[in-house]
Amino acid sequence: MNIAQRDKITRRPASQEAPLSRGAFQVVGTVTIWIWVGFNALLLIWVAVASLKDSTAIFSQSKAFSLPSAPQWANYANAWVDSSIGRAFFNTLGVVVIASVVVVAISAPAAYALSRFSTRAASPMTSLFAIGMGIPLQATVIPIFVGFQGVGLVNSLTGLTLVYIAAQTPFTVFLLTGFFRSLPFELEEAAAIDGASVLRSFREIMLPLAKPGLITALTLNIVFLWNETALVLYLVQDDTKFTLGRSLLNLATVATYTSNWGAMFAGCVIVVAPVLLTYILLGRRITEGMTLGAAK
Amino acid sequence: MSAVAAGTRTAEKGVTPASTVATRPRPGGGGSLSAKRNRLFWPFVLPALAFYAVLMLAPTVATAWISLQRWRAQGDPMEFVGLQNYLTLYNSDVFRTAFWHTLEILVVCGVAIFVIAFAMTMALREMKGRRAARSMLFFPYLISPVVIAIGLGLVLDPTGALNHALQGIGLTSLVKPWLSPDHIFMTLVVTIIWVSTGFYVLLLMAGVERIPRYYYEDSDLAGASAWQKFRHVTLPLTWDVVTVAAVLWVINAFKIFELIVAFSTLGDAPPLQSRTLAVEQYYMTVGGRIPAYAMGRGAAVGVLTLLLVAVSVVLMRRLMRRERVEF
Repeated sequence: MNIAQRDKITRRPASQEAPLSRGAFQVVGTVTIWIWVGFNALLLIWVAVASLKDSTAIFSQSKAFSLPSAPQWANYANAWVDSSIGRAFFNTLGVVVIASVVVVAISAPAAYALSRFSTRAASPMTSLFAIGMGIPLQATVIPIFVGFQGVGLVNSLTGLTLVYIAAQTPFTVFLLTGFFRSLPFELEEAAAIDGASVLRSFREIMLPLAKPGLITALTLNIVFLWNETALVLYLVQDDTKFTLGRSLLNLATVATYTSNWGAMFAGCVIVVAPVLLTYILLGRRITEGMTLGAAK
Repeated sequence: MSAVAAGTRTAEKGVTPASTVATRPRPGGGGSLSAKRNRLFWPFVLPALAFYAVLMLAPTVATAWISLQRWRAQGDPMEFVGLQNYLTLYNSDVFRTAFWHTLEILVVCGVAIFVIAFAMTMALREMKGRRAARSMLFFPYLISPVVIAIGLGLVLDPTGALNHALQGIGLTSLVKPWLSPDHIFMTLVVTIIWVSTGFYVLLLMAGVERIPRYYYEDSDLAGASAWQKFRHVTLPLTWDVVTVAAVLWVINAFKIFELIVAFSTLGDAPPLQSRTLAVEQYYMTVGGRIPAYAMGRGAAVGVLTLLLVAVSVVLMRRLMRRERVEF
């Protein structure tokens, strides 16, 4: 702060000018934020409304802003059955749930050992996992694709699940290391003095204590992987194995020829609804988990 | 490292000596609890490490190797060509465009996101209903990029809401085909800012909320303006959060891919005007109606992307290094 600035601050009485300038910023800021929020809400509602409209009404000049005259539930049937969003939904559900559970199951013991054990390897291993968060998929996907071709894991939901587990491990280990580090040491020590084995004190004392962290990690992984489409684009060409993002892309591509816009927006709603529901139920976990690493 | 810190922490709290011994590292201290635990270190770490090593670390090394070959995937013999792939890329206009687009997104979107996110964070601090607002600002970040692209189609379509509105208020000259090749990059930049800002507001707010209120009350008493409060209170006291957020942005910026593919829908490759390194690599290898399978060149793009991430992160951390303010 230079002297002129400091003088300005100290010389000015609290009641003058300052509240005015703060007020101006605050008013502009508040209005901008609510417009932004309004746009987000409106777009969400609009997509939902479009999913119930007749395809010809969605992009028509006169009916673009109107409500559907009669809700076209057929759009959903069309998306779910004819456009295979239903199959993609269950593919996604299976892959995402299995990958998320496995990634948390293998990351929890790793994070526990990295944060609590005193071997010389703990610190370099923690860094090694952290580096993984910066490795973009572009640097790994080509050998994975070729290698998977060799062992029949291309076009396979198993293959996709394996890559998802690996891809989410660095972040999950990082997140859980922070959680385990914050737990009190005393209980674990007491258990050890009472003769509990390391494995038992991990399973029966530390894991229950870390439960909020584990649930947060699980939720974040599910939400990330639910939307993941890039790896699917590389590794899955067979449309019976498509997951939601990929299937929706297909639906959108087909719609450019068939103008089946209604089904396309119904597909969007099917993809977003579970995430929206999770966000409403577990929003605090999601936001806290995502800021944990940054603001400790 | 962590165990050392934890050990001293328990010691300070004045627990029994036995417990401090248990958590303090004792090189060669056989028979102690610490040694017994340490024997389980590798069994605990190994499952996670195995996945990470086999499907992340090894492929990264393999990518570097493949980038030195001419290779059209499985069944085609590899031919060592040294740095030929990199030279080909360097001489390719398409690649250079993609390269600059990636950097433009990194810098332009990055600056815009942080300026807007900071302004919003400052405004949100004194706003009613800020939690609800924050949730709604953040929500697009949780939505599939494919849905974002399709949903925005409603607004940006030639006959969509934006052009409709512009016509309505008489700004007919501003009516544009927003998704056409000539405008797609601009549209993309704005979309990325719109989708991402909420996440960085979330991060910055978590930092700002730790600042004790009396710092701001003191500044108010001294008659500080909003800018002065930001410059002399908020910024120094959230600097470590800003640094982490900046690193996260760098990592995320290079990952943007599905959004661009979805904007141009599948099958037809996105126009040159909207290509980035990630998109370029996809259409060079397995993407498109008739994939090119130029694995060597694709791998070179992967290596360059990784290097760019590493250099940007290191540079960012160096540029942002400041003495940490304790409060």
